[in-house]
Amino acid sequence: MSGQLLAFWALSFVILSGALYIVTTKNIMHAVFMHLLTMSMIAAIYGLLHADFMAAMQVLIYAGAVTAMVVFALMLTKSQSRPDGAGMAVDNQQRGASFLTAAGFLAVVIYVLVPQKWAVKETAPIVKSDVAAMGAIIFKSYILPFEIISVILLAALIGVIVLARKED
Amino acid sequence: MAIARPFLIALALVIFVLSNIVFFMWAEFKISGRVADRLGPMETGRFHGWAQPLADILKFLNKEDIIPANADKLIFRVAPFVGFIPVVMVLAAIPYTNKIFVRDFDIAVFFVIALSSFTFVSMVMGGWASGNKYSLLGAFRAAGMLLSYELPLGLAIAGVVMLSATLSLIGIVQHQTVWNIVLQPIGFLVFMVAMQAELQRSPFDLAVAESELVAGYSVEYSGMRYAMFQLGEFFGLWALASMAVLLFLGGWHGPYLPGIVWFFIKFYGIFLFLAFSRVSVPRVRPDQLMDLGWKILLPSALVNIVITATLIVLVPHYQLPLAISEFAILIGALYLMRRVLK
Amino acid sequence: MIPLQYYIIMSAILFTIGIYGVLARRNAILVLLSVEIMFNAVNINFMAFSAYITPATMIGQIYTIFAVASGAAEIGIGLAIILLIYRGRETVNVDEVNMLKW
Repeated sequence: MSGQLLAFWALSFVILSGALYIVTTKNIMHAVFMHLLTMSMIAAIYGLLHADFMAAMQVLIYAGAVTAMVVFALMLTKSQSRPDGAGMAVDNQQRGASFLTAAGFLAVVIYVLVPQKWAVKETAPIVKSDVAAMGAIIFKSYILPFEIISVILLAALIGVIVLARKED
Repeated sequence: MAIARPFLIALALVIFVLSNIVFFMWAEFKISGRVADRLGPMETGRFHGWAQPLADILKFLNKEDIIPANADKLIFRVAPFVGFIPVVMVLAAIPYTNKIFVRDFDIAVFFVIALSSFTFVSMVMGGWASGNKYSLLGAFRAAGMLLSYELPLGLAIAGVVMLSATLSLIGIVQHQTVWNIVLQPIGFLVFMVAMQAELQRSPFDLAVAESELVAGYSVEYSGMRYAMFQLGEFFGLWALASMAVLLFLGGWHGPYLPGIVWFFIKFYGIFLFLAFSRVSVPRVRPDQLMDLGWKILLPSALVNIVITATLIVLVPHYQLPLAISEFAILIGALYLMRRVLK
Repeated sequence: MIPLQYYIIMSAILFTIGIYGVLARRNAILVLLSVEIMFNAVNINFMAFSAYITPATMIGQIYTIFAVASGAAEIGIGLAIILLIYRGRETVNVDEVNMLKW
């Protein structure tokens, strides 16, 4: 077993068990911090795929921005459920049905995807990360989507301010 | 032996940085003492109290690690590590000369910024898990502050990155035939102010403001874990001061002396600036902090980016016009500000 | 070399966990976190395909950049809406927000 494969197994284990913890824990704050850990490990997966830029971006956005926003939102709202599980449950009554739905989805996806033959390039994924090439591709071939995404972000920014501010 | 090599290098680097940090601590004691017309530590280790920081560290290591009954035990224990480990990882990205570096990252600048966002998380974790009102208030002051100042910090760096067209720190230094401080004075000023806020040092230390919040997010911490928060701050200082040297002051470039000497001359210049500004500027209020971040630093950084980008695209030899226009705007803005504030 | 299938299966399981979270959670913020998990499962897929099938053109990576950007916008707006609901109805539980009926 190569080191890469070992790293992949370890990372997958942390990511999947972290995600399971997020969707099952009763303590919301723990869920947020576990979310941070899971997202950082996903960044490590990107590192394994030689996409350094995306790994750094994942850390910056999910560790920095999203965790901050979620923590602030948690502090500004009051949940009826307590961290020790007393009070109102954080889950609703459809856990069984949700589990069945999710399991069914997984079964279908695996049934469809596993037998597929993908046209994997032989050199992959040893290609070094190359930010300059990526920048060139974004700003030459994908300039229109890039502009659109900036407009979307601006619209989201203004929308969030309008939604969240108090009426005077 | 081949396997042990990376570990040995990492160990040597950390020991080197730690010994410098011990010196920082002593220098700060002495400088703040002298500025306040005191002598600073004089007893420990006989000669001008040189062993005082070592004694402090030993004291921290010996103290009991107290975990409050109200605390969320797991998160309380993990929080200092979440802040400390990424800051140490940043050391891997910092080159000292074009020969002495750990690894030439393709995305070094971005790597440093991304990892420094963990500091905020560790503070929120520590502050929330302590189960103490002062800690929580301190943590949220820290969170608001770090978030508002990360933006100007990143944008100030963006100007430099546009000039040198690379994110590698070695590439950026090699590109600086003229130091970037001449081409980017606005960016440099924004970076220096935002850097102090990111490091939570004195004019911006309202997250740990002793007189208001006892010790902010670290009220309940003691012993090793408290020392880890403090050490994390010093490692952060190391990283950001090196970034200032590499991005704006030409890194290891300089006449006569070897590169490594120049690097550390500039580095300690930045450190002296930080040490003096810590003792000579009073702490800002939270509303002043937000005003400064969002109404002054962020627009200045944006103006800097717009001027830089426009001149790079429109003028073939952009260096002289860029320097002139940046300095003109800087002086004009400072003059206006003085008139308005009078 | 890690087979491409491993990444695909891993992200499929991750996506499934996200689905379970979205369906079974009542607290709106936890629902949002589950949506983020699903988002990231999709991104892992894009990244893996990009590295294995189109390493030169990096289509998947660039798509991931756009996906992450819109994901950030989505979570910002989502949290703003949660705050708004909380201000009006004093709850963050999605099953109590049932004014809009079909």
